[in-house]
Amino acid sequence: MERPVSKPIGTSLYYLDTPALFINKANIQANISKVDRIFTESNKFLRPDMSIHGSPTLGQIQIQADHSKGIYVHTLSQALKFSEAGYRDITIGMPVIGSGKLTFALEMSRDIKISIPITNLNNAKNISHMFSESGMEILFYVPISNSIKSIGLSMTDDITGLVNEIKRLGNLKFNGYFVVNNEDQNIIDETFNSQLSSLIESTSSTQSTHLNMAISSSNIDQDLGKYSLFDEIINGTYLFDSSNEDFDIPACGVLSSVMSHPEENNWYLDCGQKAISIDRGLPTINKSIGVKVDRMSAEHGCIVSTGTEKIDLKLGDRIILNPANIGDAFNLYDFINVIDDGKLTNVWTTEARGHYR
Amino acid sequence: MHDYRPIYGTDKQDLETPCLVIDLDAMENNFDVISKEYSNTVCKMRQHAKNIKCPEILQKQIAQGGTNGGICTAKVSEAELMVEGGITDILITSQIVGKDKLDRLTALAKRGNIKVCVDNRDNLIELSTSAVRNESVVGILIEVDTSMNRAGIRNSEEAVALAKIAQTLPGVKFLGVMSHQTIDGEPDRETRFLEGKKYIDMCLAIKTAIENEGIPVTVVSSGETFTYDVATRIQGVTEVEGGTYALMSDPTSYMNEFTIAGKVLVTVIDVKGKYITIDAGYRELGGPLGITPVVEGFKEILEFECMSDTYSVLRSHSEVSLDIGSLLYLHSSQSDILVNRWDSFVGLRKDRVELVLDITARGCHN
Repeated sequence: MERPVSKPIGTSLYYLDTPALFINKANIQANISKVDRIFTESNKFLRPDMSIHGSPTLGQIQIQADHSKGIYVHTLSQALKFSEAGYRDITIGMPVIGSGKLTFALEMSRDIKISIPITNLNNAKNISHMFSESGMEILFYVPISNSIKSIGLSMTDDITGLVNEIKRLGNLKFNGYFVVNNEDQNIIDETFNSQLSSLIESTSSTQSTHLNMAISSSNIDQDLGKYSLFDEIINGTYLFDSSNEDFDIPACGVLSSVMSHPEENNWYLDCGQKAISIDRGLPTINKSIGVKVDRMSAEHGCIVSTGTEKIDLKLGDRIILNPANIGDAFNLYDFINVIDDGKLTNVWTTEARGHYR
Repeated sequence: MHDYRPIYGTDKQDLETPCLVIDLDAMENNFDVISKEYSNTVCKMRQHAKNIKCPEILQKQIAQGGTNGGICTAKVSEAELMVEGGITDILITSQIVGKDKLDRLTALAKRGNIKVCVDNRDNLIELSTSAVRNESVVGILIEVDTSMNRAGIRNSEEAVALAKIAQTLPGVKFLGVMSHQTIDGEPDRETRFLEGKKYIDMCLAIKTAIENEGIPVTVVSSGETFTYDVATRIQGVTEVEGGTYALMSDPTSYMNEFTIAGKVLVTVIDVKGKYITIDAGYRELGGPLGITPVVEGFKEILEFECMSDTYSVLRSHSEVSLDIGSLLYLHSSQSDILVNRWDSFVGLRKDRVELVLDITARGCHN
């Protein structure tokens, strides 16, 4: 695992061993407060997506806000890590396929409330069979998607038929629907809402039955008004919004050092793909200092000047990189350096990192 | 941090997925290719740990033969892990800057034969100061940029100047030169030899320039997987820094004497017509700037349509018999990027678990 040179509490961010993943606590807390205000003005709950950072300690700050109902993670093994830290209401994003994972889900659901996705009847039958042998029940939801890019059924599928068949199996308690809405898949419009209303009506046991309507949304700020049919919003990226200009240090980033300067206008950083990930694009440099990330190898990043001005960067100088995808960067680190007022105040672990099952 | 350790003897069909697997027969074949190629040569393999990050596996190549008994690492923290894992002859192939890291490096040199690459005078002086402080001696190789346009000196004058300074400084011992290069596409053997020799000769020219100043050069560390059999035929090269060959990856599979040994076992979790969803995405596999893995046995048939955090959707170009629950193997586009995301390897032989090894140097970025 990661082996940084441990620095004393109180060390300036810029003196941390590099590369180092950090969060700026004040910025994070401002983001939480902002989202909390948004939810106070609505009748909705926020279900934070903890799989982005994998840290139960960081998650505690999120759920202390009044409008968090439970949490969302991608996998069962991430759910286990969060349950060990005391989280009791967890929605899991990945379908539970195979006897090993079903046993895993069964054991976990003895202690905590978990809700799993089901998209086909055979999977439901397997789950029902296993839970019936233990005399237990598990919550399930049906994901809905209009794109092959997301797990879920399309509105053109017989969702009502599937839900009603699953309900008849026993040991499976229908918890509601889950919809993904993001930049790639802007699914919410009048037609979709009308279809969804009909679906809710046709699959509720009685008119008073409340279905849990969750939507995974990438932009809480702009979208909340559009989600009249939903009571839960799933989002994780709000935590790391660095657009607030009150903060000099971004909500999160990777601190790196210049480790080679072999020729004019070319510098090499000690942070490459293994320490920040370029799966979804190259990182950007936090402040405009006249350079940009040009490319990255496994171990190193190459930065080049963007203009004609002379850039004064020396070996050992620190550069803050903004990852193209926050979750991909967190997935590479075992430790998060917590920065407050420019100084190290704590080091948290990413307990659920690497828990892919 | 990983909690899944299948018991020995578990059948592949019963493994929980996604799972990073090593085909042990394939890996041993790859190690055997190296031990044979280097059995009677002056030049030896110095295997790169950055692709494997597990001292037990690196020890296997050392035991199988063909190496000089040492390895390379990219970072100081990797080197520390390897020394703790019993491998004490280490070349760190990156420049190490800053007092803290240099102190860690020079302290490690008291526990092993540690060498590091330099390309800058000030860095070399700081390294010397740190070594004196720690009462150790660190071997010095000058990195030569032959083609990568990365770190490394650009001409012989810079190299000679650095070598001269290194000779005068306490705590450091000048040993020689190092270079790393790559080749695009799927070159045939002749192209590999022509291109590889061209780059290695550039490194050797720097060696000659330094020797012409009366400074002895005892180490020329140049070459990698694509030149593993080129470097052995060039007089003057003393060691090769091969890493990819151990587990291999799809882009290097044109070297068919090696076999792909590192794979990710995944499960089909949804099938919708020609679209097949598997339980591994960016987090587990990586897909640097859109380069996706390849599905074993379905190279021309299944391709990645899209990747999400923890799942991917494959598109089938013809009818395939895959159901929910079917298992597939994926070959990575870059083995070191892949391995760095996982906490353990599951070693399979004839589809049964023979060993489970922690990837102890995973996440050693520092």
